[in-house]
Amino acid sequence: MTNNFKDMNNKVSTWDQMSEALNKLEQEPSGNVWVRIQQKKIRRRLIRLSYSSIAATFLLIVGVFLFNQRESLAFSGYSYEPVIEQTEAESFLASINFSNAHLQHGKVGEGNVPKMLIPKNP
Amino acid sequence: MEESLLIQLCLKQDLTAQEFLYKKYAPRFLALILRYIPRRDDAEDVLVESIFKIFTKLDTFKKEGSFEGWMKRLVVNDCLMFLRKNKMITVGIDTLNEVKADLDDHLFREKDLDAIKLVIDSLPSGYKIIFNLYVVEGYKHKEIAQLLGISVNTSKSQLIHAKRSIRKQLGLTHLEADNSKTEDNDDE
Repeated sequence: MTNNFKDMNNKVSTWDQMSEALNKLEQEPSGNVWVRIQQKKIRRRLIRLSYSSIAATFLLIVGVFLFNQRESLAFSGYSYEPVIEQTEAESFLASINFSNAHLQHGKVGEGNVPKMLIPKNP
Repeated sequence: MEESLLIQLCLKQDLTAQEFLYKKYAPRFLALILRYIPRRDDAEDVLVESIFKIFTKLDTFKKEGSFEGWMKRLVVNDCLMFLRKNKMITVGIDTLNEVKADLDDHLFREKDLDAIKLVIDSLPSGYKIIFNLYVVEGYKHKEIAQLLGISVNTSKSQLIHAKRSIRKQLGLTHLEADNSKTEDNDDE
């Protein structure tokens, strides 16, 4: 292996000269080293790409989950008390009192829906 | 190709520039790696890792020192990492007093580099690493101590043992003091 060094004719007699000569030595790498570096670059890109895909998929799942949650969040805990004031042939005239209605952003709603006609057979 | 242009192009992931950089420096780096890691296959593995690291960490080069020096440090760090990972670093703990008499540097009779290279390769790993880091790569004892997790005094004494061993194996005795270089105690 040592005999493969390009510059073997250096004569040295001090540590400085030795250092200089050793620093000038060269060893030709085998042909596949450059190919392996390129493969490593491609592998790294693919890994980054797969990480990005995983992250994007995860964000999508979280997004869909939150979007679906929004409806139930908005109306969870809804309790109401219908007050039927008048019965028509095909509908009720009613108002609805509601309390503890969990709205978005952690708000809790209280109040009532004013009189409205509710069809008997919606 | 001018060095700053080469760096700029490599930063832009220009394949031709990267290949140019590889062809220019890889032979020198492989020779450097072989000084620490004698098995060629292992040395080429480290070379792949180091060149790849140079390409990916090029944006951290601050242009404060030489570009080649910056790259060499990366390569040396990778060598030490490999040696550490494979438990190939064994640095003995010496006291400096033991070798105090040998602090001055000496000339030796003119020798072929290949003979010297063989002798260096045959040194115990601790001696070899410290000798290479100090004499060939130009690290300070303080830096070597930090890199290897040893004391400055251990680094100094190992270096002196290494030099003594090299001279002994080359069949040389102290010929003449080299006043131009008394580095063994210069840089705590």
